[in-house]
Amino acid sequence: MTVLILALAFSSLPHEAHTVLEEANTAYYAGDYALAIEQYDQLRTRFGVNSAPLFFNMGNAWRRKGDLGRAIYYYEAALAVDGRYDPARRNLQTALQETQRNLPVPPATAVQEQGFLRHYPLSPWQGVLATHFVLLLASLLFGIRYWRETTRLKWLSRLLPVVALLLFSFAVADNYFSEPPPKRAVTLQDETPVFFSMSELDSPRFLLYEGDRVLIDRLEGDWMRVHVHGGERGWARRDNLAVVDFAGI
Amino acid sequence: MRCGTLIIICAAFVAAVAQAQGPVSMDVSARRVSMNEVFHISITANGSEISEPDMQDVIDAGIRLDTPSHRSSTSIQTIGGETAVTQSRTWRYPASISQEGMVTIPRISVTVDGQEYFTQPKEIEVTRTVDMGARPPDDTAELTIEDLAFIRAATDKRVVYNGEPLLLRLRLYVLDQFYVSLETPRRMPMPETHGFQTGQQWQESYSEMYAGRRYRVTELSQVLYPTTSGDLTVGAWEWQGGVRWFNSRRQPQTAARVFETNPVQITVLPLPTPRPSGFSGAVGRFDVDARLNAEHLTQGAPVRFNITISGEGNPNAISAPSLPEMPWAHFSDPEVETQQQQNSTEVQKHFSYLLTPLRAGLQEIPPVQFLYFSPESKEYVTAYGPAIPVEIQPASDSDTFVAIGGSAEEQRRRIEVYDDGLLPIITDPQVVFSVSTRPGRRLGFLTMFSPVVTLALLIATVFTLKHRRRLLRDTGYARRYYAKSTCIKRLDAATAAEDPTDSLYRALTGFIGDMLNINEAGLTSSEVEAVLSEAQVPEALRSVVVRSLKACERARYAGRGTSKEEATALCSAVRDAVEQLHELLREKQS
Repeated sequence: MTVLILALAFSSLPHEAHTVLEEANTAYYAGDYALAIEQYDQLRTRFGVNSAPLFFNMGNAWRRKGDLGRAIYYYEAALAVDGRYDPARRNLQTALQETQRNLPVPPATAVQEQGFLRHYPLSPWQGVLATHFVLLLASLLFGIRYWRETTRLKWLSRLLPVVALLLFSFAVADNYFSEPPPKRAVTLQDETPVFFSMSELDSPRFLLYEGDRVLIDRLEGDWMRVHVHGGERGWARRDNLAVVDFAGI
Repeated sequence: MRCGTLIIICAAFVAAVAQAQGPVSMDVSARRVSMNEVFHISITANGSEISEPDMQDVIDAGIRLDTPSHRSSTSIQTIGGETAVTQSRTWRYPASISQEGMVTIPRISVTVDGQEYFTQPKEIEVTRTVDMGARPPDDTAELTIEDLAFIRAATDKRVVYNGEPLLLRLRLYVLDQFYVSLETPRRMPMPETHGFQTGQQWQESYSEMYAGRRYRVTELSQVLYPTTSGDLTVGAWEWQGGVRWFNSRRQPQTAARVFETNPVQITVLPLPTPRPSGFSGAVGRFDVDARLNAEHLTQGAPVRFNITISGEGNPNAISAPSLPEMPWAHFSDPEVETQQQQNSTEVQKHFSYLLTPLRAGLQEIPPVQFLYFSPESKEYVTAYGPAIPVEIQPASDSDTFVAIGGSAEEQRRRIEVYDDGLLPIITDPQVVFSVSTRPGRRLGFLTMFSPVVTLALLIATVFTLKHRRRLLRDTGYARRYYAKSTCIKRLDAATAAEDPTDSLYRALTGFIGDMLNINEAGLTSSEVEAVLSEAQVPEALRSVVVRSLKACERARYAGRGTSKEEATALCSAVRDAVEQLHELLREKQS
């Protein structure tokens, strides 16, 4: 079914989209990276292509154009679409080597403020799979005990459903009550000051450099609150950073 | 009377002397020094306004002075409302004398509070030799302090071309006898080298005979590259150190000394003009080597092409050699690495290119050329690397690099992505237009609650198997479980039987026997009534059951056949009674 849906989606793109892609690739190889970026962007805006390879190509074009911040932004976007897209990961690593600090992204747990669920290691999907597995074990154990007509391991046959119930409860709670993961943002300017409050009259707490990746947890008007590696946080102007948002790219 | 007069005269003389010397005094750190040994002259003055001491007479006396250290203190006293400020200043001059004999330090003039005062002159004995420790009887030669430790500075060339390497050697000699040691500055100062670019520096230690005595020699070597033509000077090597030795009484002796060499004059010749094109400024002697790091080349597969330029010269002046025209290959920008040989002016500079073959077949990398100026032959020389023949295998997958078509220039552009480690763009429309399904963090309802289905199946299986086992093992349960269905079948069969009353009787008693787990054989209506009464069956239902059984008994014992209507009515009554009994007894049993 998935293959059928993908095939239908692919075949539904007009021939014009193929032409635009060819023009973009030609412009890229001709060194006209601005035109290549414009054409790639058309694929996204006009034809709704939101694939990791497209963002990867845009990252390469920005990189060749000399805009390191936007290149990193689009590589991150490619990875946001497909976290296992290795070409984007490799080019991202190469681009990060050229940033001032190669700043790591802080862990999501540094931003999320839930209690227990913050430390719960299993994702909802893993929790559901684990529940199925424990129930399967319980069924097997019951079958063995029934056919062999033994009363041994009775405690285990009672414990396994309880474990399954706990796993299932946590999976449901994690699925419905946990916050979505914090979004990443990439610094686009050479130097971006980060302030203690939403006022540029303050003296900056620290500076972000082009290509630095941060997590954001709040958006207020023209400001966003950023968290950087090392635990520092503060407010930066939105126009200095680009948010890596799959839906909003 | 005469004695009193003498005392008064002496007191007046002392007072006059004291008035002349006043608040100014001088002291020396040693009264007996060796030639060129550093000692200190300290001058102290007290007063409100104190001028600098006039040391010209001391210098005129042949005493060499160095920059003094200076110390001052101020005291403020208030007596009877009047405040007096008193200053005390001390100058400490390092001094040395280069002539043997008794030397008098003349009086030194200092102006205090507008009046000139003089220090007392002092005499110092300057000896040429130093008193050394136990010496062998045949060693009677005199040793001066300069014999204990001295320095030398020299260069390997006095005339060089601009950019030609020059080796400056600074040697420090310390006598390898009498436990002579030398205290040097923590960071050894180097001579001024204006007009030179400094290169590698290294240090060696060895032993050497000099003037019949063995010395420990520490040699500092500094490579210099002239950056401008003309007469240049390597400045004097000058620093202060302390010489230590043991005298004949085995007492440790220390003498401060200023070590100094003469400046070295260097003539720098300009390079001949006109300079050939491709000359990068390298001056010296160089060789070129070129190697491929792979024997078998494949079309489109990059390999390393390494060029090494080695020789004597300024590594900063060695630029990347010009690569010959090779349309069959693409070269990346080189990675450059410089290696300086330890304790030598030899240098190696490596240029590593990424070579990507664009065409298959037999090809050749022509000799790499490097142009430099040779001071030995006084002309510009071109060094050649070896020519490298290569055989390039065609690529197995022709759609990666080389099957693009177009000119070699376009092919170069296609593969330039390897220059900076950037992976190439994706051109395949099927890949670019693929629909990326980002897995959401939240699961759908069906996925989320799928374990409930599994759990329900598990519970159903457990109950089914347990029920099945009970049916096999619990006879009463099994009879009760099947009682109604068995009875209904028997009732259905009874209506079609020849003697329906007998079948109805047996069906009803059988049902009651199964439900109450008793033997139904031979049950009479009165026994059934007793059993139902014991099972607390209500009176009304009990009487219906008993009446039905008695009706069947009467029909059976009367010896006449039962009409079909009677049999149907009886069957219907029994069926109702069975239904009610089943409900009732099932409740009671559960």
